[in-house]
Amino acid sequence: MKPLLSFEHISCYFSTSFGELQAVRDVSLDLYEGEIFGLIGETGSGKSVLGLTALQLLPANARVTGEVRFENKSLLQLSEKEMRHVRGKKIALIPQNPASSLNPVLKIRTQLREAVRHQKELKDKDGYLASWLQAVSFSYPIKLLQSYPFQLSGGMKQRILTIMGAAGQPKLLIADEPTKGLDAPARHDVVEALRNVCRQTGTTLLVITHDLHVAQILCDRIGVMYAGRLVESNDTDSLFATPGHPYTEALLLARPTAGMKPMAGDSPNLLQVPSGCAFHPRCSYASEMCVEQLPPWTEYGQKKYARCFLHAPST
Amino acid sequence: MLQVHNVSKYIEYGLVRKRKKAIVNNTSFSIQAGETFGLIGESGSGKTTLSRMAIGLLRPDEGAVEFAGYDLYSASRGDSKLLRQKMQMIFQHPDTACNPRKTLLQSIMEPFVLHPTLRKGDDHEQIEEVMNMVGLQPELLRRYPYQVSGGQIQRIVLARALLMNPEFIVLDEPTSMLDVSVQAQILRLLKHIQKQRKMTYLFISHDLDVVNWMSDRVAVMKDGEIVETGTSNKIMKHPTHPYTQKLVQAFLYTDR
Repeated sequence: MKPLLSFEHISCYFSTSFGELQAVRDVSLDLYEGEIFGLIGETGSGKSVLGLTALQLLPANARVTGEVRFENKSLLQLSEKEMRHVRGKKIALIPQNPASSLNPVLKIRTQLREAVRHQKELKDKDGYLASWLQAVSFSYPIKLLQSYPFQLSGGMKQRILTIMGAAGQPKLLIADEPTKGLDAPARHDVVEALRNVCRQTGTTLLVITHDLHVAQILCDRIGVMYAGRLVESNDTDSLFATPGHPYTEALLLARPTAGMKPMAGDSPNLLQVPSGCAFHPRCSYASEMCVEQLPPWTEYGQKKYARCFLHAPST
Repeated sequence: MLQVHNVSKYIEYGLVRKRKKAIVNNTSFSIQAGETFGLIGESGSGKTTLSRMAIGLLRPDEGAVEFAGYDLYSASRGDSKLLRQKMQMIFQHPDTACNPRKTLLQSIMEPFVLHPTLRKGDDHEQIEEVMNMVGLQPELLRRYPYQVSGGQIQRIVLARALLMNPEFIVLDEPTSMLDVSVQAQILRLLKHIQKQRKMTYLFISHDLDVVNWMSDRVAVMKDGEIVETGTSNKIMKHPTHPYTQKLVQAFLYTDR
């Protein structure tokens, strides 16, 4: 099967007053059509930056090397004008922070219609939008179209943003922290909405989240990032049952249901990332080799990858 | 230790015709010394409003709050100053917890400015003690809030609260903005300090697993009222109120 989107050796640098900071380090990743892929990792691990790279939405002080391939086109070479035909139509973003992503002075209807403006053949746009609203379990879609963002709760706004991304019928949806700051019932609604949208239309979804619970119930495959590198990629069930990388293992043990065992040490400083495997100062399996060399990206089982010497062929 | 008697808080709204709506409606609960009392409920259910009334930050429209025998809202000035020292609060957002224009040292010194009686000899010795307690290097205090991580700020805020020698701390979603790995560190730290200093906690969160792990007893709030109270085990495993059942179900939901 051919991948829909591939990141090929993506690195991303930000120039800051403290020197150049490398947020993403040589990440290669394939997304296949129709799958839900989760990208997890802690704050500052580079997961959001990687997602935004595909849409060329990074701030001006960012420098990207590598290649993003989408339907056999190289996205990073496209001009701003050509990108405009990709954004929203081929690849749509569901942004972080629903509260500030909607325009407070425009009705939901006006804002949602913007998302379907390019679908010229569509006659009954309100009816089309209403059917989307129903698909994400809003009971009164017509009334909702007439309301303003301040009348809605955080979970509702997040579902509106989901539709805004999906209504343009893109091939790929990128959801950046879709459940951040939501309580359990709202989170449940948003996860359900994302899943319904993708399963009904066959849209591929890239979910960026730090909520392990959401990743577990929503995703088919999961990639784990640490200090800018992809350290593991695995299908969801085996990732949670038998994590391939020590970092994933430590992360899972820190969950409340697993007894809340804290991870040793502190998150790495991205300006001085540890040598070799960046996780070695916190890793209980670390050996001298981990300090000196970067472990190779190894396929150690069917569709199971990890960047750790525990799985490298020589050991 | 803390008793909340039938407190209510209303908001008035409407420009022409004034209408009243209860944010917290006739709610009572009590917290025993040394326990952790969890408060759960969805966004907008009044958890934060109730906890602010319980700690003396927001005067209830009806009802009273009693802490260690004192009525919080009719205590004399001297008494309430002492009470405020004994009760501390840790807020949800690490980004807004410290003044961005002050160094962390200046922020952590604030208790000494407000309560000079707390000064016992060498300030730096006292600060070093609380910083060790939360597991941070005192050198970190030379930095500004934007130069440290969210988890570190939450620890500094906790250290600042500990300087006051409190008996009761309200924790308003202290880890909801943090990563799982950091969350585990902070919550373990809170439990450790509770044991060491015999502290009482009111713990607010919408993460049911976290509340369950932290608390001895849990109260469930809905639309300004406490609908169910029980041991955390009972609430998670055998909820009786339909709303609690719905909440627990929405949280646990794992079917694919």
